[in-house]
Amino acid sequence: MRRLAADHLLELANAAGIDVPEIETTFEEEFNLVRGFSTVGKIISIGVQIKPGIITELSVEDEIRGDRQWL
Amino acid sequence: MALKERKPLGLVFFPAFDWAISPTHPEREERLLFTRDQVIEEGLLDLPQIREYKPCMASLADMERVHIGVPDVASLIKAAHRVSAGGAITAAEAVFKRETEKSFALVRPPGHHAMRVVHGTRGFCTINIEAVMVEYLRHKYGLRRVAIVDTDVHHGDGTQDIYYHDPDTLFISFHQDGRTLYPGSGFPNETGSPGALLSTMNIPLPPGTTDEGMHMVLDELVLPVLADFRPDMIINSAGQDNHYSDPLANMAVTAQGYARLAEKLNADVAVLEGGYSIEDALPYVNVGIILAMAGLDYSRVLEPDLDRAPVQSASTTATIQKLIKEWRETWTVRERMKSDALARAGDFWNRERDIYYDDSQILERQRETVHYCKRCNGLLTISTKSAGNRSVEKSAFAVILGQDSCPVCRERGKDALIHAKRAGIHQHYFLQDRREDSLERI
Repeated sequence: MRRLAADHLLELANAAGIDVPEIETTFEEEFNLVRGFSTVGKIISIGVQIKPGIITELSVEDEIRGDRQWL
Repeated sequence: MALKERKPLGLVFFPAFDWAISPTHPEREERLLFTRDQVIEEGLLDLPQIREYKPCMASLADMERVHIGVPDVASLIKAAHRVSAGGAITAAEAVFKRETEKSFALVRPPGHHAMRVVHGTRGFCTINIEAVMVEYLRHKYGLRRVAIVDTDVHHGDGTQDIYYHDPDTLFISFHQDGRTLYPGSGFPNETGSPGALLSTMNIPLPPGTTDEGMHMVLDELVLPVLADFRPDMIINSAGQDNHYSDPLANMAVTAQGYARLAEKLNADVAVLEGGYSIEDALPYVNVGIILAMAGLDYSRVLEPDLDRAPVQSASTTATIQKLIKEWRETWTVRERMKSDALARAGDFWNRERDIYYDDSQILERQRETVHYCKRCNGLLTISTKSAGNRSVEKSAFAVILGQDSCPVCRERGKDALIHAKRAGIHQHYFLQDRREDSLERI
């Protein structure tokens, strides 16, 4: 289940052109699904997200070099 | 510090997702899952009229103010019971501190089948969360006159038992007739012991009662009786299993019926009790009650399968009308009935009962004696013994001294306990002293 959720997130991220350095789980729930008086399945909810953080680190040098290139 | 604005409704939501009687039992982990989804999706917690509260944990002392657990309360409960009772306390305290006008404790496990003496779990209940809440308020804030209106489909026999001798607590329960449903009690002749006669009112309704029947009872009986009693606080044991889709009962009330009830009853605190149609009823009924209590429009809270809600038969209406008429007549002569009953009782009144704990499979035999006194509300002694398939035999003798107990009764009570202890028939001996706020094991 966890892999299914992660794969789906990757798919969405790929389609949107977003880099996924790390996936983290925000919540997990598992409940029985009972019909009448017997269990017929499970309701599983998993929340996953791309771990928030800094995408690229820029140093002062990079910036200067970048400026030069721009110029 | 700026004063917090007083909100119309305080909401305590504690679904106890890790507690169940068993995984396929009606009282199971996901019972409030669909309700949570509905409440969140409707954005009810984001409304400015509603403030959410986290439940506190009720202490053992809070529970032992009400219950005598055999051998002790701690060994009979789970953490969820402490949070559920604590949730009711949190809800009521928000009202008492004037942070909210009303509160709704949307919590489980439920409690209205839990009686004063607890040997185990019955009717899915171990701790009577309303009683723990009321006695907490009485102890901490000096609350006196309380009315508890139990709108669960099952008779609130635990709450009735706890307040059977208390003239300051009016307990009104309407429910599906006990001849057709658990716990098989709640008949009009159960009216309280002589000192508290007619502070217990049972209204057994025929199976198939709809919104129409329930509101007849409310308008023509419950509301006028409440107005006469003039309570300092109204509590609603808000069970939701009168719904037409409930799998455990046979009534025909809708979410609109329940929401209108919440509006008219205008309870200070509502506490969830039963309700086992967890997908088809609870999400709608709870949203309806929350909106009604918050003073918001609930007219569009409709079950998708409302078409299948039955219509009330003429004979059902007639039965309910007759019941209301009889109760109204009794209510008008209540003072005379009470003084007659007290005169007949003389120095004491007792009853002997068998109490069945369906979940724990225990049968309890109990003898209760109320000793009357001219100076105070008297004292109560209880002799109890239980046996079951899965448990060893347990017995106890308890003396309960009230808040206003006079010196003579206090001495008599302690003597009775010492006498019983010397006789040595029971395994455990308890002195519950409401004035000292203690439960002593002798």
